[in-house]
Amino acid sequence: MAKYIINRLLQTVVILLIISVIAFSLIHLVPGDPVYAMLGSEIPREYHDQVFHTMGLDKPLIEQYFFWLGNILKGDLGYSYYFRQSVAEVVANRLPTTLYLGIVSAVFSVILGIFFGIVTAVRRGSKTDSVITVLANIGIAMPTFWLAVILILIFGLNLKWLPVHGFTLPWVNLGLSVRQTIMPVICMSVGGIAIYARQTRSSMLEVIRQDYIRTARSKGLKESRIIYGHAVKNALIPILTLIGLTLRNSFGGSAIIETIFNITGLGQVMVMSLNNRDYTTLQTSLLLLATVTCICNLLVDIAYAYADPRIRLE
Amino acid sequence: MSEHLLEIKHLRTVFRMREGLVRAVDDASLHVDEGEVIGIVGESGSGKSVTMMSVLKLIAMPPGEIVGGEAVFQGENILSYGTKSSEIRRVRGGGISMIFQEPMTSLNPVLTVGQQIGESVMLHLGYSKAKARERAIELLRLVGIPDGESRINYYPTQFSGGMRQRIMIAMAMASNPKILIADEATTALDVTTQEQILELLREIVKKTNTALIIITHNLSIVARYAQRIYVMYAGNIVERGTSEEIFCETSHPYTMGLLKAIPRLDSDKSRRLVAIDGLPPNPAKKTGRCPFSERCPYASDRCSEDVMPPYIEYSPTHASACWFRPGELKSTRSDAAEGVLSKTVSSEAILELKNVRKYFPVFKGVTRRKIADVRALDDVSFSIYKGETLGLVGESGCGKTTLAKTILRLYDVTGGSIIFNGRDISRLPERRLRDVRREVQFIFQDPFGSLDPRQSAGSIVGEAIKAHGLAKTPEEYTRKVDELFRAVGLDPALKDRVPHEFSGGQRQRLSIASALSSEPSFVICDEPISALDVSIQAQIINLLIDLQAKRGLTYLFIAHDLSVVRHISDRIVVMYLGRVVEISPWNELYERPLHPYTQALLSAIPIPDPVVEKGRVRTRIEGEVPSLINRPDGCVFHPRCPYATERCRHSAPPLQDYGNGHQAACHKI
Repeated sequence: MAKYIINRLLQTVVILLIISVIAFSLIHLVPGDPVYAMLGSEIPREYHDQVFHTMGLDKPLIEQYFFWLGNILKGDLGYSYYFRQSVAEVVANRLPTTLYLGIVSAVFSVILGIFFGIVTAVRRGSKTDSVITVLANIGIAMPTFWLAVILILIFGLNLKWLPVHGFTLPWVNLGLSVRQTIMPVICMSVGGIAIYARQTRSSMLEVIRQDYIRTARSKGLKESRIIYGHAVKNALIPILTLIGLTLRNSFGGSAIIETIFNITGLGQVMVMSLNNRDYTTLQTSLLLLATVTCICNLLVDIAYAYADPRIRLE
Repeated sequence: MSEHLLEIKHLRTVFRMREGLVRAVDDASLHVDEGEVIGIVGESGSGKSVTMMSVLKLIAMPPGEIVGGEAVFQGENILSYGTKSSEIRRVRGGGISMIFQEPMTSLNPVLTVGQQIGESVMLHLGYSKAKARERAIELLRLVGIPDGESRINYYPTQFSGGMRQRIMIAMAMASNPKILIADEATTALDVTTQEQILELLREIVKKTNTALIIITHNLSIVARYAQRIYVMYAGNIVERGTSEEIFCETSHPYTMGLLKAIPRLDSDKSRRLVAIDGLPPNPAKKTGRCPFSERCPYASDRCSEDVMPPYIEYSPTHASACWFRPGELKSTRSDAAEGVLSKTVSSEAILELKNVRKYFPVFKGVTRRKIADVRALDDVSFSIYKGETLGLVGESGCGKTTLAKTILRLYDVTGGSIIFNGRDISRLPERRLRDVRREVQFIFQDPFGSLDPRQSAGSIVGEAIKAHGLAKTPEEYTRKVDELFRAVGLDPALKDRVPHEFSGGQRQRLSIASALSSEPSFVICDEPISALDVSIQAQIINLLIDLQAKRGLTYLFIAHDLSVVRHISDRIVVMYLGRVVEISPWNELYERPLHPYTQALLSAIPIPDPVVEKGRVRTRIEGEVPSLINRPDGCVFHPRCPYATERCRHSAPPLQDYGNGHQAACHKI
């Protein structure tokens, strides 16, 4: 097991290195001079040369890469000319917000989705099953931004129950935080709940007709023990992959929600730095996103090995 | 108050399917006493499993429904319990335990075997977790799995098929049940493992005075193990009796048919298998009359009456559901066992294998470093002569299918040469293999997976005719396809149907027709009948024998069932872990087997005759076929061989001739 994890960790490092090369070359893929592209062509020549030099653009490419990578490893992520702050500060201020929203919505989607999936599978063909299945289909089909706008319209503008923008961390002001996060979290989890519910349902139905469930039944076990003791653990193995994917999505996809609800998170930073050609910030965001994705995948793989002895023992 | 341990009376189970009401079990009555071993025999769809599953209410409801009858177990009608009631759950696993067919899928892959065994113990005996663990270790010892203390934390994947079936038995015996049901428990296992498991079951039930119900399609198994037998056909019990009565005083035409349809290890080979004509009835279209009447060679007017014939009782134990006594049966069809068509075997070899080797590399790590070779075929040499049938037998992993694929050049050889019609084809490039491909054809095991589900039967059969340009005009093509259909006993009118509209036996006929369409001279049959029902197997064997005589074909017939191989083959090659251990003419193999493995293989196969069975002296071997990756040094068989010496551990014995074309590879002969 330890060997497996070390193996996977090494692979993750290799992947991150590859991504760092891509993120690094981003700045050189822009047509024309990167400094002018970033700051506009009206800036004075001296200023341009100074920035050109600070960014190390006058050195050979390989050297630039290692210099850049070395700085990142030292924690120096560069300076954002758009936010007029070091990129590290930009990220540090906004990362908690995005992580908080991402994790809360992921927890909701996973727990509720799997729960609905199990319920619909166990009561296959019942009314509960049809109602939840129809709702899940609607949930999958509904675009997030549309749902966000509708929620804002009803609960924010008409009923005035919930604030329509802003974000506060719960340890700053719990009441306000909860009220501010309800709508964003709903928007971010509805799709996840629907997908998990559907996948869990089909996975459970597949598992329930396996021979070992028949064996469990022939032992005289209670139905609840058959479902939770024997079926669920097997049914969740394919769901794990999905969790890895959606965790990444809720991190990367938060850009839309953060923009609509005007939440100063990392997603918003990404959109802003992209619109304003702030390449240093964009590079960091890209690396961060890649790191999160890799960590999610790594966690999923470890969870996989934990859940399925067939993988662990190979 | 019933005096039997379990008495099933007039059980009727139906399935409400889209195509109609399927009467899966139709008025079945049977009983079992304490410590007794009984067998329920029948083909697929005969209702043998459904009967026992109904008793435990384990059938899927809906669509299944128990519409009548009762099952009295220890004085209580357990059919009156609800499907999920605590009463029926106490019986399941507690009073009556079941072992199922597929050991690979019947254990939960994500729970340790200790958890799975312990669960039953805690549930039915109310043990604590620690005590359940102890009991589980004790049970593992009981089923012959040593060092249970550590193995108890293993997952099912860490055990072989035979070991998993032992674990299933341990699990079933966990709560000291009164009855143990083995539902095709050994069908998926290798012959020698099958024998070990059945012997284990017999010992355990004897020790614990548990009743054992063996559900199987294999008549020979019940002949060896069961005291009483029930024969089922299309949901009815058509005959019941003690083992001797069933085999020696057979009364029902179906039982008679079954016995004539299976080849026996000790039978005379010139005897042609008498196949039961036709197909088992569609259970959705079942009528009230004798279900066998359509296929019965003795059917008369009486049989078409719309009533089930009553049981004629021959003795307190023996009864048969037929209008007639055996003496009164008059065949209405020409039953005269036709003689075997004569064929000629030439002394000229069609195929010669010389030291054929096939190694599969094993890679490891991120760099995919080659760490070892799996030697699937190791120095295989033998010849096949024009017009003969060479049987190839061995258990899983012996390399029989690899050999077939290597001959077909679906695999590239690692070493040695394959000489077909005097030409070495082992290294020919693909484009020069075309005419060899036309000459050498293949019949697969699984008639369900090997036919394209979207292709019509006609084009499946005709494909090769087109591919090899064997028909010049469309008329000639149609004529050839029709001819092939007739040759394998199918109506050419079925040409436009797709495979799933055919039954298993018909599909296998289609595969045969398709293999013959390129007019080959050499056909490799890889387990062509093992997926079929007993009564259908005989039809296919007879067909293959006839086609050989008519078309002068040469067969390489691969199977794990020695009695079938013996029946069809002129010579037999026995393989074990990639090596040929014995080559023998068919008649000598049974009378004078030389290699200890062949001896064990032969004695593991039961003969469908309890009298013969009781008189047999059997060689039994321990253990299971090892994985090819951990292939033993020296003679590959030495770890299981009762006669192994130091020499066998180090040097591999070569094949040596013992006269009469009989060769064996053993130091001890």
